[in-house]
Amino acid sequence: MPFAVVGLNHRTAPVEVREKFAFASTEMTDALSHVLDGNGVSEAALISTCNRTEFYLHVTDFDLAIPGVIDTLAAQAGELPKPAERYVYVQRGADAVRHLYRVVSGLDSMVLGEVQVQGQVRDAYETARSLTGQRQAVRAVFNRLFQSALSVGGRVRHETRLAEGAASIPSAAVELARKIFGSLRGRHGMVIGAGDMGELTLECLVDEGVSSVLVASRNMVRAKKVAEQFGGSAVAFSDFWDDLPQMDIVITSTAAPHAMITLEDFQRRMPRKLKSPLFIVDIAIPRDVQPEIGELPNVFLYSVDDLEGIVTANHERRKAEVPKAEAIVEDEVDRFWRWYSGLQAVPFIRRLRERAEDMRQSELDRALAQLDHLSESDQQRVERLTRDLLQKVLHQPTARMRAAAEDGHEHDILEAARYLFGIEEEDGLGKKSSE
Amino acid sequence: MHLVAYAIAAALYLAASVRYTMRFARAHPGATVLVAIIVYAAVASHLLGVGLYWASYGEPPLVGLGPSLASLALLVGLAIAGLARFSSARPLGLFLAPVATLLLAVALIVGIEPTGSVLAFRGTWLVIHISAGFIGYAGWLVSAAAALMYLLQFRQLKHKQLGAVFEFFPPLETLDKLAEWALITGFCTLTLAIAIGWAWTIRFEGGFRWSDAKVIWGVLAWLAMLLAIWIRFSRVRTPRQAAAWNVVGFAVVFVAYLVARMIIPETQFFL
Repeated sequence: MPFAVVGLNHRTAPVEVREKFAFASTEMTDALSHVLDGNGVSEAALISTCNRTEFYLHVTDFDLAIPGVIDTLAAQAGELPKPAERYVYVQRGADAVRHLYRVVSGLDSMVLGEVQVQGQVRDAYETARSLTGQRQAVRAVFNRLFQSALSVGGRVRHETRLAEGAASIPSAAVELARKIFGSLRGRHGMVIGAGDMGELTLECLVDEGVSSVLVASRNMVRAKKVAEQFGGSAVAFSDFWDDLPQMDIVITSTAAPHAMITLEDFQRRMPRKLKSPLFIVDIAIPRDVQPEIGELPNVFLYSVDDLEGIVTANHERRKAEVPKAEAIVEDEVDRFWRWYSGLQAVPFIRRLRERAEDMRQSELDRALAQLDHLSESDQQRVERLTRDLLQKVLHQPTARMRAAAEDGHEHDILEAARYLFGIEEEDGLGKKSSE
Repeated sequence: MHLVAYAIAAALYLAASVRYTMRFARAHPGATVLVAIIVYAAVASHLLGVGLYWASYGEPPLVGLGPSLASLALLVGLAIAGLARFSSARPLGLFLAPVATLLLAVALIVGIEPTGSVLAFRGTWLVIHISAGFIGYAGWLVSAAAALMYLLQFRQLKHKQLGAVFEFFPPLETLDKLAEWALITGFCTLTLAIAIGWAWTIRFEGGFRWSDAKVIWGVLAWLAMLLAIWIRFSRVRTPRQAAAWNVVGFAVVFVAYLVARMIIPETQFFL
């Protein structure tokens, strides 16, 4: 199969190198145009995320295409500690298709089974499709390839549990919050101490619909900055107790050397019985919240260790699903290969039908010239008869030719058909492209 | 013929129970098209059984142990079918599908036939009275199942044992709301049933027959539901306490029913 993927990812390059190779969304169409511009590439797509930059290519000439794309990548990266080739991998043929399917399924992701990559591949496909005219990047083959890739991603997520369960501490916190509150829309959240992890967790919660956000920090400038980012308000660290009773979710991530929410303070400042649940995520080390608070009614207290335990368990479960996901990928690579092989028969079948149609038309004209006594409707009947007859005669051989091609026997079957029907080989007529 | 339809419905409820259990064992609440189809087919077959019974005997299956249990099972089946449409509440079928299976299986064993007993009053009011009573009990059953799931999910979250229950069961908030909604619906319809029965006995018999087992049990159930509602809306109680009282109240009334059925003559029961 004349396919290739040329690129780099989190396995072959560290982040400081990956970010040099990354293409902004505004640069992607130019990069694709450049790759398509007389470089032995007939179709192309570019995936550029924080973890990978990859060109997918439908190639007419590998010797031209691969160095050309590596040059494009090197030009984008500029100065590098090592030559660009050291970070870049090339996969060809079915391996390239398999790679795309593994990427879209999350099998090749840094976080196994991540879901976002499906959207990133869809965006890459849409961007490539937006190129039209002479530098059209997506034609029939890449349309099929990317649509099948997106369907593989869907299949893997539907038929396996590869994407299930939280894969990071912030997403574990969100998963727990969802199990307590159901929808997080309209919930009140507070982050105490605006550390990076606290901010990330808050971001995930806001994405899920937490609407009212308070940020309490000893550093008011930082608190205001974080609060502004999430459309919330900053409160002085000393005042957080005043707002705590109204909160549904509290994230603590201060650098305090001791617990700053003690059982004694909690019992003194909070209502004796909480009518609605309070979910506390303590991601500080040492812990900000005295563990005994977690034993109070309607308080759900999770520390960073608890969340890490969830993430580890989910990761193990995801790993156990990898064989099933790989089997789906293999199945789909095989299906795509069959479809692509079947394509090799299409030009021949088209030519055969054209030839047969020409013969039918000329024989029909000759016959109708001798049957001028027939009414117009009878002539139409005869015309339809010849058309139906031709259709029926050609149906079986063409269907079998396509099936044989899909089974990988396209060369033998097309040779035989050429001989039998007397159709000479022409450029590209049923010839399988070679790598 | 109605027995065949009922038997098919029972088999389908059983299949749905197995399917829910398998989902639970795999801790996977999603992709439940098949179980929804099974439940809808069970309810359709069940409704057909009711229709055939009605056509055969000229009355709905509301009187006598077998017909009553079969009708109660239908209401539970309808609840499962209704919940199957909502992904968040769908796992409740794990508890309700076996209940529907059991109720219908017992009904088939004791026989889904008219008892031939002379009814105190026939006609539309009887149908409304008994149907409302059944809806009341079915509502409470759904509420108690949701409350029980709430308690189990609460325990998992509190003790950080995030296993199959955590994965499969709905969120606490969903279970709490569902338990509340089903309890209030059940209470309202049971109140209607008791009011109709009370009005009729006042008019035609001069007062409630307090010695009648079904009257005692019906009022006990009503009071227990009232207590569960009061606890739920009491300002000093938490949702967990409301759920616990709901489950305990239901269990007490259910055990009272079983004990009463064993020691009191059958003629005093409609269920």
